[in-house]
Amino acid sequence: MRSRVSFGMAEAVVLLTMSSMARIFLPFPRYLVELSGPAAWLSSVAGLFLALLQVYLFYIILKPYPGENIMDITERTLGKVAGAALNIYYGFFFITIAAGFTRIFSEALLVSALPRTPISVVATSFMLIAVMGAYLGLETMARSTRLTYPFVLGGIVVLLFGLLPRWEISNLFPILGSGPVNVFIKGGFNAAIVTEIFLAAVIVQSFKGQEVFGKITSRAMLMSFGYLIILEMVFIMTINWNSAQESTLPFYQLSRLIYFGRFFQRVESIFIIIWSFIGMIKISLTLYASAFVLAHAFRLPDHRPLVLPLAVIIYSLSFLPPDLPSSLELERIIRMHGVLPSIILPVLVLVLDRFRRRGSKNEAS
Amino acid sequence: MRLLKIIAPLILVLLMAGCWGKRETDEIAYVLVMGFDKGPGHFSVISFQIANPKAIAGLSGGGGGKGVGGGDEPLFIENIVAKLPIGAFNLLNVERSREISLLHTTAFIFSEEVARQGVAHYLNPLGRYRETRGTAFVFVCRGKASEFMKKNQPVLEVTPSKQYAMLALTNKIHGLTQVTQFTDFYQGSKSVDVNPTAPLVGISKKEELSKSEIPPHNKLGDYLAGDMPSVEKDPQFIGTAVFRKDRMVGELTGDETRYFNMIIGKLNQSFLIIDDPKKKGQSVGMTLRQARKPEVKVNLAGERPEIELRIYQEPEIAGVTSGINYESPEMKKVLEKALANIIRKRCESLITRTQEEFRSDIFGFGRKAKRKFITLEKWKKYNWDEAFPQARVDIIVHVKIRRTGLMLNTRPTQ
Repeated sequence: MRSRVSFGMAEAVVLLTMSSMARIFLPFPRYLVELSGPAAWLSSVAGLFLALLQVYLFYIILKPYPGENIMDITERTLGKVAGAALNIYYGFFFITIAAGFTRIFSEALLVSALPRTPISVVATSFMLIAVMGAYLGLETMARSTRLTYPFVLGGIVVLLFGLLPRWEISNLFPILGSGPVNVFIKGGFNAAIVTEIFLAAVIVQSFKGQEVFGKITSRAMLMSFGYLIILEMVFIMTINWNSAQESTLPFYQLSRLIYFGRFFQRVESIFIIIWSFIGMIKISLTLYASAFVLAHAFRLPDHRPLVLPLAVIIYSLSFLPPDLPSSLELERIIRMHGVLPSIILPVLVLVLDRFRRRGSKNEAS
Repeated sequence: MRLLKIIAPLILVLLMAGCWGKRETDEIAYVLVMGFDKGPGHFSVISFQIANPKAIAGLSGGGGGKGVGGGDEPLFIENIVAKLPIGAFNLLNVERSREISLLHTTAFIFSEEVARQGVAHYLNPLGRYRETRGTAFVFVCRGKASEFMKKNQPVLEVTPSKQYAMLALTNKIHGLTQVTQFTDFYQGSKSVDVNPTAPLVGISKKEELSKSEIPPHNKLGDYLAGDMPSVEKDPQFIGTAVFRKDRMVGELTGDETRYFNMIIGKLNQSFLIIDDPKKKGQSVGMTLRQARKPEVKVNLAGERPEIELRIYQEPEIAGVTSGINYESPEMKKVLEKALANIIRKRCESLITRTQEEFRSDIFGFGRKAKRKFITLEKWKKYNWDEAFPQARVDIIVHVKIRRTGLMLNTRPTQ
């Protein structure tokens, strides 16, 4: 199945940036502080370098096959059966990601703003929007994201710089936090695993030419990691690392601390709007990706018939963890498992592809 | 599909309106201040000062000080005995018709007794609960918090909430107290680099002092809250409660708090009276102003930490009782030197007190010290809590009188 839509570079960059930014609104920044202490921002810097390496990895996989996406190349390299099986696995990977984010975003909304609303109602709202987004397709998501991006960016800037009087630069020390192994290796890997690079390789046919894949994805990573690095720095400068580890929702907690006298405070409502929008984009995009990948694997001409059934599956899966801490732990495991589709399997595909191509060249010569 | 496009947004509008969480304003009563006192056994007495909307509506409408209901008080206090603050808050609902909310709680007042036993078990639920805010102010009350809340009747404000918020502004004028928000206090209680402090509050008890209680004139504001002589039984916000982690270990007077604010770089302005350096028995009034933030350098190379503290002040002459022309360049230097000497001595004495009596780094020197370490493990191993009391602190005070008020050349009285 081929993507029939295309959009510009700016839309693509913003779509991928906003989607990969979703984690900064959830407990992820806290997890990095727990791992790296006051040097959590350095883990994000290490993560950025690893993410750019991932972008390069996918770029060299996609480069020889203009007009094909990662699933086409997987099937071409591994054969129809094994390739399709791997693509089905990719589809399920996106399903688990979507389920995890649906649950955590819903829980986060309950913790912060809607404590008396049943979680099923919040999750249903997210799923309805995700279904609509996935039905309407990538172009709609990309263009609506591009439209709202300045407001999201403005909101984040207001929130982060509203905390300027509370910044304590000494909180960033000792500079190497929990030690180089935790900061650069464990923290770096944790920060580096983002599904959006793989997702970009899935929807590469919508990018008006495959040659821009590297540019789009690397820019999206630079932007989203830029936000992560800045947020981690502001988070630690505002709340010292020891207390920062306790926070369920760091970004929300920061927004509650903005206080410019009696007349400018309680601005967390801005945050909740931004947060809900990013959550909707993230869940819509992963639902779309899972439907798109599975439709490709099952040789269906259109992904849309799969959207509703997959939404029901994602919705049900999202309620499997019994509580918020379990959901977070599960999300962490799934994120770490992301190293398989994001790095290990692509490397395998690349190596096999190079062998296969060398073999065909030798045969031809 | 078209039908779905129409129906889905409509459903979303209904679902996203937050109907489950709705609370009408006329169904809620807002707690403005919470107080914490020691209760029987392991229990605490939690006091809630609640705004009475009926009466406040009358006040703000210019109704002559009485609420709609005639003799209604604009605020009332409920005391609940419970183990934890949120538990007490929940129990409070059984006594009132409206749902009680902490969304507008602007101050937490701990009694000295509670503070000396440790406040960690109060801080945790207050930090966790979604309605309480990190920007609320924290106070320590000399005496019972519930008594203070009852007697604190702000004359100039409708509610104590505004009174507490305004304290942050008035402190910029005198510097004799502290402004501590919950988030800073909570972080300080868990930090290894700095210990928390909180402003002291109390109700004035004395109209005049005995001879031994009268502080020297050059220690303006050398009182703890409640000790400053006053005819009316007024609330007083002066002095600082010093903590080691979550436990109160001592008190600083208003005068000491001035120097504490100076060392941490939060003294915007403060009035000070010093002995006239040239004429015994006479005084010079000065308005202190911070020229720039203090500089702190920490050297950990030796056996004990060495701290160099540089303080920059640009005072203004406020009054000279002797009539000496301190505005002249030569005499200005004499005054600058005398003032620098006084500031240095007072700061030294304050730091020594925190090292020997409280064993608590309330100045945040630890924040500078930890910059010398590359990893957390090494910093924790250094054990700043033990090292700080041993530290040698050198204080260098830079005083430059920039302005002399509305007089440029004082002439002696003929």
